[in-house]
Amino acid sequence: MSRTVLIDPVTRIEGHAKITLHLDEEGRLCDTRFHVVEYRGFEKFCEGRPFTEMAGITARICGICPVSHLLCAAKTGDKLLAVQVPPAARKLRRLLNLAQLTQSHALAFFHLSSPDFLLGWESDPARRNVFGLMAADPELARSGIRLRQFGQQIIELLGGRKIHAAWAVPGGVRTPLADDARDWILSRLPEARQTTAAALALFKGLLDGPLQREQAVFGRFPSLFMALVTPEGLWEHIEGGIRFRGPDGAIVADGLLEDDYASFLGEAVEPWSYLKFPYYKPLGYPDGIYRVGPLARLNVCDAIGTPWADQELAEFRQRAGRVALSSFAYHHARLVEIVACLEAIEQLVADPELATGRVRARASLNAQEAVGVSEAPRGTLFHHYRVDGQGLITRVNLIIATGQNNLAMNRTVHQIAREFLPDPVAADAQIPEAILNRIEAGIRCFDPCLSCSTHAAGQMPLHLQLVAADGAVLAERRR
Amino acid sequence: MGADGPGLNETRPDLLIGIGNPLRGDDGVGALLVEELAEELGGWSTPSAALKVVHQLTPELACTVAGSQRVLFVDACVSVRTVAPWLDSLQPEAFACAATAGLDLHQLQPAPLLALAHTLYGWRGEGTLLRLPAVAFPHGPGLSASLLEAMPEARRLVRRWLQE
Repeated sequence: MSRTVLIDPVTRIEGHAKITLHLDEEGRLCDTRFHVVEYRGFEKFCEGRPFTEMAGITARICGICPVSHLLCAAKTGDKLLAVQVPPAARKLRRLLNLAQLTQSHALAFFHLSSPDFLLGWESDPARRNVFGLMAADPELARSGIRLRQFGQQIIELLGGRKIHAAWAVPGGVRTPLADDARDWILSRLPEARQTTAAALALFKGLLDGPLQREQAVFGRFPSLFMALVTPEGLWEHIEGGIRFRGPDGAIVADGLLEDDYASFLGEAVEPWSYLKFPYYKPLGYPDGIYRVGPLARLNVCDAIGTPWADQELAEFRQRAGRVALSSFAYHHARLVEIVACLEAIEQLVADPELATGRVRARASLNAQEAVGVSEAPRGTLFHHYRVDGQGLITRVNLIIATGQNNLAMNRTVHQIAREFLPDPVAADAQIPEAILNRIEAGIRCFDPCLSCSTHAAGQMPLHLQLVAADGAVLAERRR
Repeated sequence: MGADGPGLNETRPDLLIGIGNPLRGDDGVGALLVEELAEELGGWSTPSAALKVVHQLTPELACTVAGSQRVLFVDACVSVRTVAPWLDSLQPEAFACAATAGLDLHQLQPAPLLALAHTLYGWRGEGTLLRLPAVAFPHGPGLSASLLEAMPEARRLVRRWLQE
């Protein structure tokens, strides 16, 4: 009799999900599914709204990374106005996105994932959280909070508020950078650099020691990687073109335009999940599996372009290969990206144009269809709008980073289950805590945001089910 | 100073945090009440109190809490028990319980946030939660009739807390 293991809900991620492990007649793992079971339908209820409201509406998909939607919506709005955004505004938007990447990566590394690394897979889940981390390493917890606060405060200084700052608008931004805000950023940069350096040293030590097996087996498989790069092939997060790099290091496609996304990205659906399954169209579904986010950005770019970040990138590649295939390397990649962000922030705030330049181009509606793209913390984000002659939305398509990692998350869970579950699974087997923890941690490599990717509401607990071939649930754990 | 509260370096003995999304009906009542108070006071801080509005509580607020002696959270609460607002004292033992319960760092509850401030910074202040009975959460602004009726009492409780 075949069986299924169900993990429901998955914890320390944003949204609702469950995981089922399907066994065949012999008790061997034959299929794994990461189900996303919530739905909000932002794409539908945006219809009929003025396109100028899209930044405000889509920013409310998520309270964690509203800035990403805000910027992507503003960029899409630029194209509907058919304006050239003033250089100062482009730089200010860059600064906002860098702050967003910093705060989001800090939360993911220090507070969501570190408990797994530092407290151990076998530890009690009731203690394997930020409070357990505080007991084990209070200074790490404190400095992580301060680093996230640094990013959040830049967002607040620019946008007037941390959450849902309505500062980026079609045509530019509302206000330049104030002198006291620039001074505050400069005053806090040394501490942010110090915290990141300490985290990198700690994490590299763990990679060389207790986390070697995780790095080897957590979602290590060949796939494509997609990210934005500059025309010179450098790391990019808000402008530039789209590049795909293959697992062997070859550039598969380069200089792709977001306007043409439908020609190279397909979106498959499965009856057991609300989360779509984007794939690289030329390879078909599911062979066109690709990954986005920090790992993809580091794999795809030739270099970052700032000294410390390039040094860290070189070390990252020395450890993980020119193209890092293990999804566990997302954690290391986030830290390298924080370095890149801090260096870029330092360069940007030194630019006097941010405080004095013209920051907004104004126009009325000049186009009825547009696609915007940017790099959110979790990966490439597309907004596609069609509007009528009055600028009212008639169609919206949002392609979210977590969705683009959907195939990869499913494969990661499968790989971890195959590595750590007994083979075959005994008929009366229970689900050991350590396996539950590792499967959960496999999902957390991607730092998924299901609220964004399904536009869904609610919390995200973990539900794991072991299911037989006839559909009977043999074992089940909830957290 | 940001539009939704004082800057990070500004600390006051009292901290008032309004929580909620004003575009989801009654959910935004905490934020609306504190915004209204800020307007009345002519700013987001007085010599003795700092006011702040957030959609959700996040870990870095522990630093802000650590700089205060008393914290009042103002938040909507789904309630069938009562239509009147009420104050709950958040006891230190509740912080400890919160620390061992399931945690969602994307969206902290008041007690775990105070526990964070206590554990990380040794904060030993007084925490209070003003619960405002909410019944309707549609997309868009506006409060339900029953919550509007409860607002005068909510304002009275906030002012009393500030004067204590």
